[in-house]
Amino acid sequence: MSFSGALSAAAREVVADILGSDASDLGHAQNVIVALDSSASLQPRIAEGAVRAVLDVIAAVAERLGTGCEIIGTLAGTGTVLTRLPGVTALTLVDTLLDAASHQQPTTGFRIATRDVMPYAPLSNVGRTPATRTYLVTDTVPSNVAEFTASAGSPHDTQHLVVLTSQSAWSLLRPPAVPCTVVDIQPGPLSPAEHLLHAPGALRDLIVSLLSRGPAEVAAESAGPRTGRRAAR
Amino acid sequence: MTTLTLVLAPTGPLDSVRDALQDWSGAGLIDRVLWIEPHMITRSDVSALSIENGRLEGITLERVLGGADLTRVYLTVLVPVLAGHRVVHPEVERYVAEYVEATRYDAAATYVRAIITRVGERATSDVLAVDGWHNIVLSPEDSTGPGMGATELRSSTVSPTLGAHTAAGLAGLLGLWTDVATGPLDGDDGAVGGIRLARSYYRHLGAHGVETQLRSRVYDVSGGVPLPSGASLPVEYFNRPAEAAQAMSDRLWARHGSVLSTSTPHTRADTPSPVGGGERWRLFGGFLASALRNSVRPWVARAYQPVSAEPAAMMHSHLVNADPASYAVLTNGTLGGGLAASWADTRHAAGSLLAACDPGGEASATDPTVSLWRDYASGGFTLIDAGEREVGLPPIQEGASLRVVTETNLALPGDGVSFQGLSQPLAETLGMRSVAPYDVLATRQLDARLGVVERRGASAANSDTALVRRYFDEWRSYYAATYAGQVGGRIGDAYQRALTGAREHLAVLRTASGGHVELREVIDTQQGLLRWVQIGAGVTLVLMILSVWFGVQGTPLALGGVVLFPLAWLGTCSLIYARGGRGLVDLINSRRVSVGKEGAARQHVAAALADVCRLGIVYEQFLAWSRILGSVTDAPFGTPSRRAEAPETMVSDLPLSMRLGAAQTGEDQLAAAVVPLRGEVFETGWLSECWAAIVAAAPERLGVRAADLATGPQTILGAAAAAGRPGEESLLSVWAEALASSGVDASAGDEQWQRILDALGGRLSDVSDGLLGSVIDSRQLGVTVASDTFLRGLDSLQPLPNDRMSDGIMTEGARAVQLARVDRSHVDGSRRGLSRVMSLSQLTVPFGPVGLVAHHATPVLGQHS
Repeated sequence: MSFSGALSAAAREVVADILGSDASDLGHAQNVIVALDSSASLQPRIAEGAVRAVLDVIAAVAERLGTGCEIIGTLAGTGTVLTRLPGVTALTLVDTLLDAASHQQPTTGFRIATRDVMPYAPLSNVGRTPATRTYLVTDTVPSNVAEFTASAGSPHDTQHLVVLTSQSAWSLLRPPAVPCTVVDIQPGPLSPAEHLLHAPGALRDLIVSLLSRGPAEVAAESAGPRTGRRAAR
Repeated sequence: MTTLTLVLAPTGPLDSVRDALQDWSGAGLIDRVLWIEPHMITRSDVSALSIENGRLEGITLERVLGGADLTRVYLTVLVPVLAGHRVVHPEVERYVAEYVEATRYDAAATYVRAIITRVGERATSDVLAVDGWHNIVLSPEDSTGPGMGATELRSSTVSPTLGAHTAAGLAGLLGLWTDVATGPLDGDDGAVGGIRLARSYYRHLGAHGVETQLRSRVYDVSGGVPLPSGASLPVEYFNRPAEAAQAMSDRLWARHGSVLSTSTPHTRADTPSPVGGGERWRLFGGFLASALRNSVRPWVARAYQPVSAEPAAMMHSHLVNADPASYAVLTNGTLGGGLAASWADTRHAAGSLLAACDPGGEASATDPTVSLWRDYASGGFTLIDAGEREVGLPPIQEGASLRVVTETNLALPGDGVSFQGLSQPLAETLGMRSVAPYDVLATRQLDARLGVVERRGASAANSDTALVRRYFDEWRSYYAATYAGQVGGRIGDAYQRALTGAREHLAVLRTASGGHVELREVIDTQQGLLRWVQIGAGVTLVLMILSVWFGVQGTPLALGGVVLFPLAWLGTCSLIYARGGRGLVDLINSRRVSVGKEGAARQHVAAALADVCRLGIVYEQFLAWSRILGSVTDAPFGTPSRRAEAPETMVSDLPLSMRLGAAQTGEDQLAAAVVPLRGEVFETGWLSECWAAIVAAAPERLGVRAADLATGPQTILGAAAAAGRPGEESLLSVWAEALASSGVDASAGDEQWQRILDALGGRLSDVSDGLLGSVIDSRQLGVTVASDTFLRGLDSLQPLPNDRMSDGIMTEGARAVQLARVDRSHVDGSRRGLSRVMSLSQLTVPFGPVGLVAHHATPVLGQHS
């Protein structure tokens, strides 16, 4: 089993441990949107495997949260309309996103679309309208992050920024008023997936951070050599 | 020389400038820049976000400004004169400038205020210009080049264009572009204090794809070996390459012929003297005595003992019992199923028997012939590149010219030309699927096995034998004449000689072990004679008694029988012995002949087996080295590294002034460029550099097992050879397998290629100019434009006549006196191989703030960050 596969498996175990075996019974079920920043600065992180490692963990979370709901993948470029990638399931989410990113020319900057143009699909859930959790995977706090913050369609929706950057940089950025997860994986002898697998508590802390529900529970998490917590300001 | 660029920006929408800088940094377009916002500044220190290689890191200015190698610091303040945008408070600007001034040590400092405004913008500022600073308005326009139609950037389009346009203007103004050494403000201190407009253009023409194609064509030797340049004599191709290969092989063996010698003397012995007359009488006497004692066996044993085969028979028995299978393989030359044994089978069988008769002999049979293989490689390389390497192995000269082979396969063929023309059924029948071109013994083995199949007649397996035979004979004939084939043939012959010698010794021992049968027959014969002699003795005794009795009774003549009858008995016995006892004499005579051979065989069988093992190791090493050298000559420069195959840098959503392109080239341009570049690469001895790089990379290629070889590249040669003991996978074979399966390390050609790229960027720039025919622009993928069009206008220091920047932000009076006219151009760039980077920045003459619409005498922008 590759480290990437091992990371997925380990992430599923941790998610099941935290949420229980059936998330839908526990009221956790949500539509999950995963938007990947397709700007040029993220390309080195894609090449070194850090983005795949983070997406593997997010996919494990989405698999459980999205039980019976929609799981949507999209690339956040500079277009004003985000296009929903076809054929996305929890199992295909990572490969579909990375494949789409590899076929698209990296952009200068990226735009966070408002709710009106986010790729919501007609929900298949009958009898209820679950909340939607949106993960935006990027490497900085975008300049128009306020649009992301304002894109929640209902009070139950959650916008979550997943930032692949260093803790030293994060301490100088101005985090928005949404849950943020910082993944600090520096280049080194271990692959990003190995970092998350081997750093004590890193994977669990990352998943706990990804599952936080609102600004009050915001946690910035570091995985890899530099570990620690930082509350978003 | 290191330049540090600091950008101080207000928190807020200008974060999009940082985003753009970070993206271009990730794409490798700009160098490191430090981004500072007011909230990062404290009374004790100034922190900053370092943007490098697309990553953000938090650092303190004190840490980077104290660097000893820092030669210049740019502090640039972004000053947005845009509605709704905060500006950095003047006190903050001043504080950071003072901080830089205090901590920059010997580095020169340049202070820049980059003013951002738009045509039609209503916002104004009263602090557009600051004394002691370069006050530069980034011209609110966008165009592909000077003199091209420009688009005015208006206040209504601020939001979507602000980040990229401002970042591009900054990068040009501050010399931030990667591979652009200078910016227009370097050493430009005369205009400090006034306001100037500035605009910049950038071109990045990536040519990795063309370089990869070019490298592949230049380094390709599959179509033939080029005539090397740089020799003192003219270089031509061999007219008769087989004779040249033979000559080089002879030179090699003239230096290393001792490797092929065997230490085993033949089993011939001095001619023994046959059993003579006196000896025959002694045998006769002994025979009579044994007859009288009625015990012929001890007598025969005593007579035979000096020439007994017992010691040889015991040794033979020991060898047979130690490893019957190996004994059968070695003596019969066949495997269990009757299939002819391979050289490897016989070598391992010899090793097994050697271990039985001399437990330490196999280890001592190993012969690390490092110098042989170094010379073997040198000889082959010299046939290809006419390089002067080893004394005694100079390039071969014919007439007044040095000669080289037309293709590498004539010297050191690789696995790619192995014989593989066997159908599945035939391959199964023969027990062989392919034969490497240098594997002489396997070739002979296939020849023999194919002959067996041919003699068996038609069958399903050999229906295509005739065709295979014809193809095989052609193939064998071709590659036997190569240098590797000639060298391998000599080793193969020596191995066969050693094997034949060992078989002869074993045959003698086997014969000796069969001697007891003949001895038993002799004893049986002697016992038959014994009975007749004893009967005769009894009759003679009776006759003697009768003679005495008749003598006593009065017949004196009868007493003569006492003498005559024993004499008659002796005569009869001698006649009987002469006829019946010849077998013993013959046996003794034949044993006297054999005993010399057996003694020699007993004495030297271990040495003969050791020779087989040693020459087997030599041959095994020859195969491994030939495989290695064949891989080297197949693709001596390796395959291009991943870096060379990297896609071109392509980023979308760029301003018009900034263009990224991927160079395209045509077949004709490539062909024209290849000729001069091959002349640069293929000089006499060109394989030496490749070989040295491949050897140097070997420890890394071999991994953990070769960790202790890192002390010196050449140690791999010795260590790899020494590890070639029977029964273990040697480093040499691991290395050979790695090279054969994955090819030669790209590093073999990387260093050379870098020199070529450097030359293309300078001395051979005319060659590179001819290669870059067209460009795919990142803005219009799939559409090509001429490279001249792509780069147009960015290489001229002279501004176009009446060329001016966008004056929509200037007052009527300023426009009237054409203050927006281009006054100065700064061009810089670089060539990296075929790739090019060009930057053009233009500036107006300095003017006062009143020339700008954005100027206001009183402060109206009350919000300071």
